[in-house]
Amino acid sequence: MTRRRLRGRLTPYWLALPGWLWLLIFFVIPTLVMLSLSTQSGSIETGFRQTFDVANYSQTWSQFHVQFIRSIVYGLIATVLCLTIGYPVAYWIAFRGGARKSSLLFLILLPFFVSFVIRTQSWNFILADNGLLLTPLKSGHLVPQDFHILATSTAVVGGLAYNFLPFMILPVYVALERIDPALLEASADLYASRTAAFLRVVFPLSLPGVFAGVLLTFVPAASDYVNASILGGAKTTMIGNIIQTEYFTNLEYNKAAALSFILMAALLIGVFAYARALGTEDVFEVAAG
Amino acid sequence: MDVQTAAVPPPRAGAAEGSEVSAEPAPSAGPGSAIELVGIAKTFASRRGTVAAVERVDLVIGEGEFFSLLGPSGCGKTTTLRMIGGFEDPTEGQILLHGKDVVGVPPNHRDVNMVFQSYALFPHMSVFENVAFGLRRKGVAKRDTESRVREMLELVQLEGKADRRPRELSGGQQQRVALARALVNRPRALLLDEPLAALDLKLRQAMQLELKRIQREVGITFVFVTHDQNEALTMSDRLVVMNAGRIEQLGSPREVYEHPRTRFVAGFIGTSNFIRRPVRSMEGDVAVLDSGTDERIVVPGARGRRRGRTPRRRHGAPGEDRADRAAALGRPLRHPGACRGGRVPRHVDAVRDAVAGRHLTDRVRAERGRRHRPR
Repeated sequence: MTRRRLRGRLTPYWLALPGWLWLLIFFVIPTLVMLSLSTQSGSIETGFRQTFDVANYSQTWSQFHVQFIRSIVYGLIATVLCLTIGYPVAYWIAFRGGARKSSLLFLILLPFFVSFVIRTQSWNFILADNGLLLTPLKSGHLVPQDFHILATSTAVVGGLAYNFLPFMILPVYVALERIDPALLEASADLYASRTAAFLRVVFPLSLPGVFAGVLLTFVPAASDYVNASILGGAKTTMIGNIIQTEYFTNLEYNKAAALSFILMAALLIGVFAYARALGTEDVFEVAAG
Repeated sequence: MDVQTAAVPPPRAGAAEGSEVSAEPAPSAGPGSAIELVGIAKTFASRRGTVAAVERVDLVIGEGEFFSLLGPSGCGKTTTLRMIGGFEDPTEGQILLHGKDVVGVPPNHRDVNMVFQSYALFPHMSVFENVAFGLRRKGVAKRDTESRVREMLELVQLEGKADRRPRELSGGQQQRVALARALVNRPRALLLDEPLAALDLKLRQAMQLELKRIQREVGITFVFVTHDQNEALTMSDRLVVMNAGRIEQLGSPREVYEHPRTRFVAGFIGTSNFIRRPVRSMEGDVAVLDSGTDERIVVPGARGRRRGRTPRRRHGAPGEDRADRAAALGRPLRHPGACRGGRVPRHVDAVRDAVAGRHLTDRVRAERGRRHRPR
């Protein structure tokens, strides 16, 4: 009797076991390995030894803080762009989409059916100095002959915003879609103008979606390296590119690991500060219905 | 014999039988009219052309009246209410709120407030903030807002819950917040869209009384939409029964209950037997129906409405096959033979089995022929 009850009580844990194992093998262990690697010294020739040396952190920070800060700034600008472009799109689909909602959402997702790298590469073709966009503009003398977009921060930030836009639209859409249209009628009934109804009712209720969208956009955008390497130049290098170069080209595993942890720490601190500022409690409360 | 019988619950006390509810209301709206609908129609576009939700409704609702729109789902009652509130614009007709045509005026500029079926409380605001919402939008001074909200929460007995979120309240409490949120604005009329539908029976009955009390206390016109006849009969001063976008009958609960004007109303209100037989003869106020056997069915029409139309000539002389055919077709029957006096009793209140002398405790109406004329 007690045995059976005990087994019953343990069932959820058994069922969660595959998930826990997965997290352990593919998240916890690699993270610990990288953490240990980040405090080792040596090189690929001499071999890495664990010395619990935090010099990797200070050294890489002083060497790469420019790219580091640039990544954060690019990520923030891309996120703001995604929000300003994505929110109205999500709003329109949620409240005006009618019967076409699912087709519209499918259109948002359609670019995902093409590889991320290929899509970014195609922007390279479009924005290239003699590409689809600039060739006619230059032959029409609408822009100077040495004008270029590629390899500027505009190109990289634009690429980031383009690539991560759906990650903003979808969660915001989900949050807006859950708003009972009767709430809009109720606010109109209670003398709210359309602006007041949006600011007092719709926007606060969509905050959980905005919160999720900002996280899903900012975190990958700040650590992205594909856009910077395809659309950027020497002056737009992001921290992701540095980590990639350190790890795969220079084979400085310990420095790459240290950089990764600095990035992770910065993002986590940012995210928690953001959640605090927004009043997570409120946000999650609203999300819970 | 084509008789449909069903159990008949006695009318609720205070609804139709005796009591003040039936005594006070008059069929007219009285002097001040709060809401006037003039030839209102609403059609919606659908995939297959247009669907008429409301067809030519004329209605005058008096100041301070508790007025119900009663009908089955899809009868147009909610659409009618939403047009009064400004959430839909009528395709045709005028809506007068205190004499002013408000068609095209958005809800935030109308002097009426709505209690939504789902309550539509703002989930991210406290009870206090919900109730204060309208006053704040209107720019009422902070101190006034505060005191009016407190006062209103007291009226709906939610003084202690001001800081709660709507989802921390029970259904009945949420309902009262919705009521307070609308009433605090002191609207000229309060529109209620099936506000009690989501409550369980006991709570619903308690809230019926509560609503009535609040209405008496604030003296505001209430326009109440419901599909529940008990609710409408218990609470209303007057009501309309709607069906398929039209008004079937307008009157006091007692009138509607005791003298249903159409077959639809008779079927919708209370539970009725419908007996479809040819009328053999009219003896004064009493119609004698042909039962098809040796028995006769005697229907006293004394309390029946006598405003029936004179049957038109072309319907010809009394003929049993016509009557039988009509009955077989499930169509109501005209019985010209009964109408030598020129009038068909449309409704009668009881059927007496003349042979057994037994009372069927039921309301029975002689069918009205006009709308369902056999073709």
